[in-house]
Amino acid sequence: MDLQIKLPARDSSRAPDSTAVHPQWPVRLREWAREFQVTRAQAVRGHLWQTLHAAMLLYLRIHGTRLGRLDREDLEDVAAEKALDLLRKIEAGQVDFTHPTPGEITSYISRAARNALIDSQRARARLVDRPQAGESERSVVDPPNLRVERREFIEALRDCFAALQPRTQRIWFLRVIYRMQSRDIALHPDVGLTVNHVDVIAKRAREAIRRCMRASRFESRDMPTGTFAALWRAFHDGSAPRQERVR
Amino acid sequence: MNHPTVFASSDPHLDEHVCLDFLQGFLSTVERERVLRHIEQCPACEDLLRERAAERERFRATLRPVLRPNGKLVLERLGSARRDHPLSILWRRIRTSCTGSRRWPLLAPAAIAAVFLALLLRPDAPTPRIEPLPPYHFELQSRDPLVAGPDRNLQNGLAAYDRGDYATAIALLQEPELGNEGALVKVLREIFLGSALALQGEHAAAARVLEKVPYQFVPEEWGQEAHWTFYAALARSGQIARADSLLTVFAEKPGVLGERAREVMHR
Repeated sequence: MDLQIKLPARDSSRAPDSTAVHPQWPVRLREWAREFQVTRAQAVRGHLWQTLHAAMLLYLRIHGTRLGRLDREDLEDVAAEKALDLLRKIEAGQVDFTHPTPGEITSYISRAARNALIDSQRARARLVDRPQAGESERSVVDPPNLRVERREFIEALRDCFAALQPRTQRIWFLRVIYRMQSRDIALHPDVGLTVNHVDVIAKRAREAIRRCMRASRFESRDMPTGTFAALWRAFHDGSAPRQERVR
Repeated sequence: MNHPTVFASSDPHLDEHVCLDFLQGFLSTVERERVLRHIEQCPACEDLLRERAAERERFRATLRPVLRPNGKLVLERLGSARRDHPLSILWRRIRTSCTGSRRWPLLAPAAIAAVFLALLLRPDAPTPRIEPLPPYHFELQSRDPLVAGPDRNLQNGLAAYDRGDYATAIALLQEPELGNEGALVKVLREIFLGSALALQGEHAAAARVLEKVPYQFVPEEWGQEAHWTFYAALARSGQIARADSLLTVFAEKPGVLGERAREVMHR
């Protein structure tokens, strides 16, 4: 049985780009594969799974833009199926991620995703439209008064968010920022409540945020650019930025 | 050699690798701060990162590999990741219970009968209904100062919509005759176009049109139905989380919209 990852053919016509981005995830994947080989720990399996799954989704999307995209459900199915397949192979020692370079790991996963995409499309023959080029090309060029208003809105929302209980913060964040359904929030490993309980907490959180924002003279509206970063800091780092960051 | 791990100099925007590293917590504090500062200024990258973050949390909640006692690694799907139709689960269970045993000849007719029975007795799928909008009499309303002028495509499109000829209505309403159509005309065109698309079964397209509508400016008679159509289009095009979120907002409103939403939530 061939246990080694084959190196991809190098394209000699392209000069190495010294500014190219070097992702960290293949390095971490290799570290976890090494650790798992020794410990067989469930926690390490969990890390391996999450990273393999995310990497598989990433390459399915990248190849999808060229080869024709699958719809969201099919994409998720293929990613889950292939990531599990890869995890099984790592566990069985059929694929060795402990020695290859990060570049070899990314090539292997990229190739696996590409093949999976082609197989899946052949089997299902179900394609969706490709996105319009430049569809997401936009940037924030606000006039000064709007810039100030935007900054004040974000700061007020961040303060209102920070005033919530940690559990309420988590549920509001998953519900409002990530738009997750109550039943998924209830199953989230950081939540673990019933769906009804999630609904009640989410409703109270919305009301609390609305009241707090009104007290700061802001009405509900679409969240302006910069909100996610501010809330991310408040939620994940537990700290609000000391100085103005939104310009 | 110290390689950049966040942004390449040739492209200032986030790419998928950076999103993955950011969300898995693989970036240093300085690199993570660079990403956050960038998304504060860049709506496209903010959307991308938020979408990937939401996806990651959803998968954390609903997909997990489980090691069975027999040593087999399987995928456990929970919540919204479980998409199997109850009938397909029933069929698989029957098939599994029959395979490799001598009970198959006896169980086969029972299985087929059970499937037919289940087909007959299955509850209505929870798909929200889509109703046509009330007719809009263009001539009566055109004295509105916001209306730029009579647009024949709009008039004919609305007439086709009234007749129930939604394909023609879509074709006409997608092509405004006048370049400088007024704000009210634009809203009018969008709600009838979105509704026609939804009634034709093009739910994803309908949702794309109807999400742009400023419903607070639409008279209630059309606004409530059009807003409901938006929700239904989202739900039917598989954008469940967005539909669910909208339904929660509706449920807190008075009037027909609130009643319908509460009814659906109660079900």
